[in-house]
Amino acid sequence: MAHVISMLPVRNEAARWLRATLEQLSILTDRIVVFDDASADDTADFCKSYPKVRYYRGDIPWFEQNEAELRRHLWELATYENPEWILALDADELFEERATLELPWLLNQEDYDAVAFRIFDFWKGTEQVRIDGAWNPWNRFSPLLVRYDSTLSPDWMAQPIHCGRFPLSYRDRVTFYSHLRVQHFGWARGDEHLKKYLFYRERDLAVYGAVQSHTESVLSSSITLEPWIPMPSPGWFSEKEHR
Amino acid sequence: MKKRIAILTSNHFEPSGARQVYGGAERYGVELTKLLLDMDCDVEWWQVGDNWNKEIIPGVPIRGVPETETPYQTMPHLNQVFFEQAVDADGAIYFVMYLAYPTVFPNSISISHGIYWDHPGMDKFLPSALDRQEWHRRLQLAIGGVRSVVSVDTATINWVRATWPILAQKFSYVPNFVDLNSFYPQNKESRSPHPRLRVVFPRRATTVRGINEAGKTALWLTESHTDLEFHFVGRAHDDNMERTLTTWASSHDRIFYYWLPPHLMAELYRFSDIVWIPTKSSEGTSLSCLEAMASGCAVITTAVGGLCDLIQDGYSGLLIEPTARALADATKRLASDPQLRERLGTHAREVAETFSLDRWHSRWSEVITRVF
Repeated sequence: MAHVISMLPVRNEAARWLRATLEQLSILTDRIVVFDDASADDTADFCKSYPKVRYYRGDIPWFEQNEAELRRHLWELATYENPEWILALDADELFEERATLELPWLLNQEDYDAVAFRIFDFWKGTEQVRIDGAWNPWNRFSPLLVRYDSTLSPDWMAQPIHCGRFPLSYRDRVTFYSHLRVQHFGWARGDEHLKKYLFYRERDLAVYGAVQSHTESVLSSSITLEPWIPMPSPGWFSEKEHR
Repeated sequence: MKKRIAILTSNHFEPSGARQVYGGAERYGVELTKLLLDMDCDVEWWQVGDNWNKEIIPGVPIRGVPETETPYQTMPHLNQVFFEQAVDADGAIYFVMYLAYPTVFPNSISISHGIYWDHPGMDKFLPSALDRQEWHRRLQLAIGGVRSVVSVDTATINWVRATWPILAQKFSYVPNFVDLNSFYPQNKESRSPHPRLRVVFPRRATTVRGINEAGKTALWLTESHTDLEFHFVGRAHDDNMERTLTTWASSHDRIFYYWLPPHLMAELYRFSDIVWIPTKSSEGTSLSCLEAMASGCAVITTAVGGLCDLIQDGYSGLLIEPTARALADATKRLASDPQLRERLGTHAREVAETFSLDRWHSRWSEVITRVF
């Protein structure tokens, strides 16, 4: 199977979704490169308890000031591992369960250099996902997995937020758009919405000079949700595994 | 010195560039690109798009050229931009026949992927006799303008022979291919025991490929035949349809919906028993059909387009009318008769061997060498 490295930025994640993410990445990838953005909780000990984790830590928080710089640094750390593929998930993101069987098989090929997935935002719980406006996961794919090419430039988009997960040169790689879904739990706790809204509002004003409509929609009273539908893997993948 | 070959297609990606169209024609395009690279050519692609630049395979560019109109089922503006911008090319390939209108490179080839004018929507696009006459004129000019037309099936050639006999000489029959090293039967005894037969619809989820008939049949048979499970494996043309299919499949225990990259399709067929190719129109010599045959599956298909070049009814598969009832009856027949499945699968593999990728390379190489 392909040599896959995951890179994971974390900050104060111990009481959130980190356990599930690390459990899954330990199955899916050969090494988990973690950059801890100055956590003040047990995130460090938590990460270090997973044998595949390569743990790095910064003493001054970067994310709130310059996400691009944090991600560029994390990318650099990941490339030290000389990977074939690099997976970029956040600590509150999980592939649906079937991916542990199916994803590795997607990578044993030469026809494409990136894999994109639909990301579903769970809303105020873990039962429903948001599908209105720019939250709609059905009409967009996000590249989260790229084949590492040491000849490409590592330059990052010069923007402190919404700066992408990979260097600019990895845009427009030949991409496979996968049916496998990613679950994003960053909005699953309703009591955090106001705090997150205020954070993104401030960043929007600093970067764009105006609050973006997607940010405003966080507190909208008119939203559309649909149930998350679990889907089993077709049985032949597990038969293949045991062949 | 390397020859530069420019290829014009309509949609390898959606015009926005955001979504790749996954179908046999697109896989054909990738394979043709690889062949040209192996023949030491430089390759560049053009298609309808919002002025973007991408790669069709790593290292091979594809450019999006704005085009919003398709008068009489042609794209004259796209054709002319291609003619101007690809001016340095030593030769051109028009990936769809009608794209070679109104201008054409002196050294050029076009490709027929099968008769598409049997699509019921043609009547909507060409509602009057005058419209159809103009479409005919343009198609005739497009065929007449290129040096050679590669047709994936005999149906197209025979239609042209009956319509414009003199133009039939332009055609070379180069049927579609299957990579026999990737697509091969799995020894059934080495398969893990599975309680049900796998029935696969390995097509794009579109009306012309028979998605509605296949869906209806799957619903009927999941109720009556608990020994069957159904795999719908292919992207739809739009997000809403994929959402609908995902929801629909997940509400039934033995119906699955997903899609796979080409290299995993070979694996899927090795775990499959019955394959549905219930095409209603716009078909050539389906890659999916050939791959299922090479994998030793029992194939049920229709007498549409080039499929009769592949399947002899009762020998290498079953040919049916494109209706849900006929599909259900044929599936029940195969489900209850393992010897018939075995016999059809064995013969299908033998027939598929005459459609090898090596043979396709050889035939295409002859055409390329002759024209360029």
